[in-house]
Amino acid sequence: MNLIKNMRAKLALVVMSLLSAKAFAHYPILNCKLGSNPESPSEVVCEASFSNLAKAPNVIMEVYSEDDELISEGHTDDNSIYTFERPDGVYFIIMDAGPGHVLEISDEEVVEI
Amino acid sequence: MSADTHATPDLGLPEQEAKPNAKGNNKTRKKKLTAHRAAYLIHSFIGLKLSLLFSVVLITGTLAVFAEELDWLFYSEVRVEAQGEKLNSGEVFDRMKEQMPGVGLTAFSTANDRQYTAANAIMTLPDGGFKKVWVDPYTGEVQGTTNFLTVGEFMSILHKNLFMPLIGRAVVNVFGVLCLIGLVTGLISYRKFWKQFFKFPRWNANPRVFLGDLHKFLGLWSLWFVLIIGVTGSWWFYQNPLVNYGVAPQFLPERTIDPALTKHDLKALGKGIPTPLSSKEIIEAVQEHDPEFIPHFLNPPEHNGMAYTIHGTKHDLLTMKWGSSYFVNPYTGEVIGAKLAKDAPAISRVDWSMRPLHYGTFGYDGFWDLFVKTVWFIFGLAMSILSVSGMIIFYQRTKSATKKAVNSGRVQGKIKKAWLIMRPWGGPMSGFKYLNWAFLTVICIGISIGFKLQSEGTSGSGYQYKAQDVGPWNISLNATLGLLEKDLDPIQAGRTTTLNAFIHEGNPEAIKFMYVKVGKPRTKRAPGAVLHGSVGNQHAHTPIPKTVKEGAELWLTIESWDGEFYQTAWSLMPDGNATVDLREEQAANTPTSKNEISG
Repeated sequence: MNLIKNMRAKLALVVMSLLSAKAFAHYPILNCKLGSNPESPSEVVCEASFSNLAKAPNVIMEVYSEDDELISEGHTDDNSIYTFERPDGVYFIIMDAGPGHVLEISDEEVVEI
Repeated sequence: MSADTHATPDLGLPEQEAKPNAKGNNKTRKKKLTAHRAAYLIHSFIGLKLSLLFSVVLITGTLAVFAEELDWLFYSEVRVEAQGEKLNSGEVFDRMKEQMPGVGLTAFSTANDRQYTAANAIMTLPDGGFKKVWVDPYTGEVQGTTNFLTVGEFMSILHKNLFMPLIGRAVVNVFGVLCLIGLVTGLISYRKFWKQFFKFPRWNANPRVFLGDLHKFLGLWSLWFVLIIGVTGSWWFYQNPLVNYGVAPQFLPERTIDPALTKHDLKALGKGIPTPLSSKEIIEAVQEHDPEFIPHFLNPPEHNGMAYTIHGTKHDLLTMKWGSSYFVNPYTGEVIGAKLAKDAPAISRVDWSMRPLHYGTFGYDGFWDLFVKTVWFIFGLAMSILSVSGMIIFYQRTKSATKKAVNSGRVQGKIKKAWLIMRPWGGPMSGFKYLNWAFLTVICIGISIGFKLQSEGTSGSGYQYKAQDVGPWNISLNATLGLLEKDLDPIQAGRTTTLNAFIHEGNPEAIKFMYVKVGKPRTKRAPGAVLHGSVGNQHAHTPIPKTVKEGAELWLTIESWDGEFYQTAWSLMPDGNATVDLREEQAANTPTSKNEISG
């Protein structure tokens, strides 16, 4: 029964992907890692993309502290990457790709390698 | 192959070698592994091991060439009479919307390349299913609705992914590679094939000889076609599974994001509720910008940050009819971006050319469209016959070999015969027969689920977040993992859930953006996942954190056009009060259910 349920789930993806050739909304995705660069282990590397597998180069990136102080700001590079030094304490990363396409994640969602 | 020859001594041999010699001596000569024989063995192997599936792919592909025409024949809603000039395709869509108020209509297909075919849009049903609505492009009158899975659509989907979850497309693409291998090995094993083009099948000979002749004759004449299908299929095989599963590097340019509205664009609209242009005005704006562009698909924005997208064609060589796109500001008609085939890099154009070549759609419209499709259909049929005849040839050889092998008593013979068919080795398919059967079973299950999907919504499933007042609106939410996953827990840590919003009171037009988020948004700048979609299908794909804390809340934030923010929250998990598990409620209403108390 579980197998069938699982299959149904995956088939939904298939059928929806058939429709999605014509439906076109997408949402921003941030994939951030800490320690992926052995030379600077305290660097957070974020890759920005969208749910339709498109990359997100040149989008606004901002990092805030728990007290809402702006710690770091800039844009993703041509490879859709944005890097910054890990701040002390709790922090939040914002990816701003325009109206309706703004995403914030917290340091809890940064993967430590 | 040794397994094959075990039960069927004459299997796997080129015909010349398998025949008894002139003196009637049945003793087979010792076979040398020549290039011919090796090619023949490979050719038989690929043609047989997955022959059932291969035939399904080829036959559905052949029928799918005429998918559109099949629908035209089957459904009266699809047929229209040509009468004078067509309306502006945006106006046709506008009139369709006028006739169906309060219904979510998206993905409008204009039928601008057809004279006698209705335009259509996809209609979202309030409970999550969908249908196609057909409209006369000459008068703008709605002709009726059909299922989403029309006969043609069914054939196309079956051919494209066998209704198989996840891996379907990759499985089909494997056959593209097998086509190429079959082509090469077939030619190597057919001695002096270049002299055989006019060797017609011997009609008077016994069926086995005739089928063999036919197989070779059709194979030779459809070489060019098998090459096209093989190359295009293999090209896609490279992308899926090889690139998809990280086995091979991607060489195509990365996908770029579609142009969208900027903060500046939205600010320029002022603080009142803006009125978007009609689809007619959008089409006029595009046609003024580029008079040569023929619109084929109209995609209205799904939320207020998106552009109105028009896909169409400028008849660039070997592109699909939606190969070029314009992105229009839905409020001003300004063309804010374009993705045109002529600007695409050469490698993308090569990639795009695979579709029209494979599907035979490059005739575009009128006589040439039907001509190319007819040629594609005929040669598709030839390929199907190649597959089926190859299968029959081998089965007959197996049968005669089996007869020789089974000469003992009646009952014993039958048991032995059944064993020869069932056992995982020997016979043309050996252990692969189980794979074929398994795939066919999965396809059948997939088809039945596919049909359920189009009619079955998600109502009465998942978690319901009961209606609450948020500013001037009254809104409820419904969480499900997805259309087909309504029986599963909608909130699962680390997975994305689909949240549908239902506005019961208040003016939906006054909402600029509506967001949902697990946990209270820290800032108004990023209040969560934006709700989008057509009327009746406003939804957001909301990521659930990897750890869901106890007492977690689901927050709804509305930003209105006048710049105000309104917020409300529900308990993320069912609390029996504002948040309920509809599945448990349903179970509780069923007298025989074991979960009666849990609701």
